[in-house]
Amino acid sequence: MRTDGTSRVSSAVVDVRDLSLTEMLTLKMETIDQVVARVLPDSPVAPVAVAAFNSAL
Amino acid sequence: MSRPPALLSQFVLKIHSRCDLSCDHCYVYESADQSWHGRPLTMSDRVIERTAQRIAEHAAEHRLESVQVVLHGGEPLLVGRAGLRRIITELQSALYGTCQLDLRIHTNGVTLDEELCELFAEHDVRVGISIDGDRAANDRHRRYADGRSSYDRVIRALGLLGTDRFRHLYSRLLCTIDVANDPVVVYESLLQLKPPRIDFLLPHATWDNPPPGRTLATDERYADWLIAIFERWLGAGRPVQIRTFDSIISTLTGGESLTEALGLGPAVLAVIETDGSYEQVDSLKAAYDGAPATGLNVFDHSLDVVGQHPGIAARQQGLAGLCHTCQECPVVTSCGGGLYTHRYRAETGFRNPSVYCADLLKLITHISSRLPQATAGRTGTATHVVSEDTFRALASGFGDAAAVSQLIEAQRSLRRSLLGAVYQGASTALGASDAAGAALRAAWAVLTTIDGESPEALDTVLAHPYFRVWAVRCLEQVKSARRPGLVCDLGRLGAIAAAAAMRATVKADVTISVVDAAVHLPTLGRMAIGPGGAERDGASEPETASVVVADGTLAIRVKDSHWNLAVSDLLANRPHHAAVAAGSRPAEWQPMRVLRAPGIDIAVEDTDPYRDCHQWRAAPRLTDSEFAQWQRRFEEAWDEISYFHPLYASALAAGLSVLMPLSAGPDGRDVSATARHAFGAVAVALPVDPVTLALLLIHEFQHVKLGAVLDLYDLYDPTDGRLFRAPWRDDLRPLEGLLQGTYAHLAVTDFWRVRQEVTTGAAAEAAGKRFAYWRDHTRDAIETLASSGSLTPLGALFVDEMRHSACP
Repeated sequence: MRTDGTSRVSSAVVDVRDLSLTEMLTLKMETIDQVVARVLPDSPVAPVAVAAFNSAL
Repeated sequence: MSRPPALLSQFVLKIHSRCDLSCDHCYVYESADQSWHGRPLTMSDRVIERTAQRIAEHAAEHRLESVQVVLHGGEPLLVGRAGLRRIITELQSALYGTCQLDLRIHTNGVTLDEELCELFAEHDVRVGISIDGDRAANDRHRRYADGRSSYDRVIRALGLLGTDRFRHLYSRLLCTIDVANDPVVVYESLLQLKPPRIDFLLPHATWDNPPPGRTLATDERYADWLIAIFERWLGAGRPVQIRTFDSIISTLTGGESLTEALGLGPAVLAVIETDGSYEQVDSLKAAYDGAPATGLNVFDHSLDVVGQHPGIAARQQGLAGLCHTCQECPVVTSCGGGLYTHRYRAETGFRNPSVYCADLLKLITHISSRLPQATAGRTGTATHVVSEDTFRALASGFGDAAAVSQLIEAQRSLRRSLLGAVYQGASTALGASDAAGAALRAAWAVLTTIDGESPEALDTVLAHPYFRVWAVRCLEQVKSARRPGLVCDLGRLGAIAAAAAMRATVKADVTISVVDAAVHLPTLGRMAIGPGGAERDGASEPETASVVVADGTLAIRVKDSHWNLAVSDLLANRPHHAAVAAGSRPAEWQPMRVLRAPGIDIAVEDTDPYRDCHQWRAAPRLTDSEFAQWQRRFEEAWDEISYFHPLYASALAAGLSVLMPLSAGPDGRDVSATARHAFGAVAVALPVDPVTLALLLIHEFQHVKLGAVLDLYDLYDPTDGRLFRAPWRDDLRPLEGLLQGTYAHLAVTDFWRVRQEVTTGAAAEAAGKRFAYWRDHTRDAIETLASSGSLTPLGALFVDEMRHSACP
């Protein structure tokens, strides 16, 4: 179980309740994108696993 | 049961099999696999042509939107400019009109010059360069055969990529880790080269051939090396993308893995060697001689055949493909067992933890502990948490009002994020000068005002269960660029703004789409208006209403008709015949009605245009007598629930906000449903008796609870596409479907257990039979879930709690 040491289970959803709508849009959208991606895995803003291959030459 | 193969979409072309450097840590030449000895130096035109055809036919057959091709080696620049041009144009020609081609080259950079950069700019080829850090670090391994340093030449190449002309081609730096180097010096020296991204690569190793410098499996020196960089990187505000860290942060916060070396995503990559042989991922060269071989080639075999090769299929099994140790590991979702190659041991093959297991566990645990700080730089917020007791209570099939409230709070974050995403996506899709864009901005301005002055009013409207259904639909419209549909759906944003403005006593002047001859205001009801002109043909943009909220009045104008309504009446859910101020179209305000019983109020949603998202068809708006019938049946059902099933009552009262009436089921069957995106809503066709309604409410609310849990937590491997037998159905179900059904039937079992105890005679006998039937089926399904091999550790815990509940 993924806990924060106080018998609480950390989730994958970022808490944006206290962010105003204006603040949300002035932030880099990374966190919002991740929240949306959880709801809509194939959303236009979902993180894309690009260039997974990585081997140095 | 193994999964069907995932589609290949990444192709590594070994266009030259030799290298101009002689790095002593190179996996191509210095590893167990020595197949390079027998390869042609370069890909022949015939191999290139056939390779391009194979990729194109694969993309066409499977309608792939894009494929990625990496030009690789050996050293791909040894092919020369003319050869590279031939290869690039062959690929682009073959794929033209079929799918997008994301073309990249990985090179040591020592011969990269201006002419090659111009070629890459001409064809949009992104360049990744290998360099191991500062001069001392790089020269430790990356030398010519005669011992000369390669550093100055690589720096010269990076200087070219750093110029304005070519900077857009600069993809990333690839740095193979040597723990003998100072990690911070390596990181800072790479940072000075201004890369868009850095990949720190663990040196390829197996249990038979352990990592350099490693003496004990518990040694964590690679983790320590990376953690030193992570802390430096985090402290500086994450100034560059570092794939390993970004991937771990992404998976820890519910996103995708960004690298094949981490996470549970399926392998979608094939390698084509200079002679046209297909190989698996070439890091397998580090495992044993011949490890990457498939025995297949571009002349005789399609890429579908390659995708079915056991070696590739084995890397597409997600959690189920991992060893038992990994499956039970708390960080498996982020780690995924590490790079496949690193799991190899001659005695047991690849079903082992990574040889870097201790390092990966320490690194991921460390990043997890720093996650609030890692995300704080971007948001100032942390992730939602649920107490362990609450998690276990929900997993057992129950969970009280406090437990459901924790789920509700997380839904608030999801809804606000969705609102921001819709606005961002739609703004981009519509353009600045567009009338629909202007309406969008006007609605957004009202929403931000309300958010500042009365955020609880906005939250109330956003909490309407069909808000999320709407938001998801908008995002899908944005993605597929369906403008008329998007414009129509975006009219809802004005409606949300107007409904919230009435609650917040904030002025609003917005445009709303007229849908189904009505102006809908979520959480309040709809203004049904008479017909007013030509039908929409689906391609044209919708009829709109101008809506103004000011001075306690809601004013609606549609073309030449104009109505005024008192806001106080609307907020009190009173029926209202709008005063017609002008025009001739009749109109009627149809308020949202509320089912009431002691301790619970539930809105009846029978007008919302987004409500028809359930498995069964929505009923039309209830007549007054139908609503009265619902009210009586609901009161009786609630008596049943609160008296005989109190463990469910408090959660229902806290979390069930909307009942959506369904049309009668086929042959008079009782039908009910929930929709994954409609948290807080259950859809039910009015059953003939209150006990059935009580059962349906309890059953469906299980889906609501579990859906919210799944929003928060990965309970199973989402890449597992297998279907499973559900004992109560004829068709096979995906894993989430089976989990949902089992969780719901856990409550159904409990329901009939209680009914058996509180009834007598024939009723008790019938309840007893149903109890036994559902108990046995639920237990079977729980064991199917538990043995699927696709549960995360948290999912295994969840299912274990379900088992304890079903088998007390």
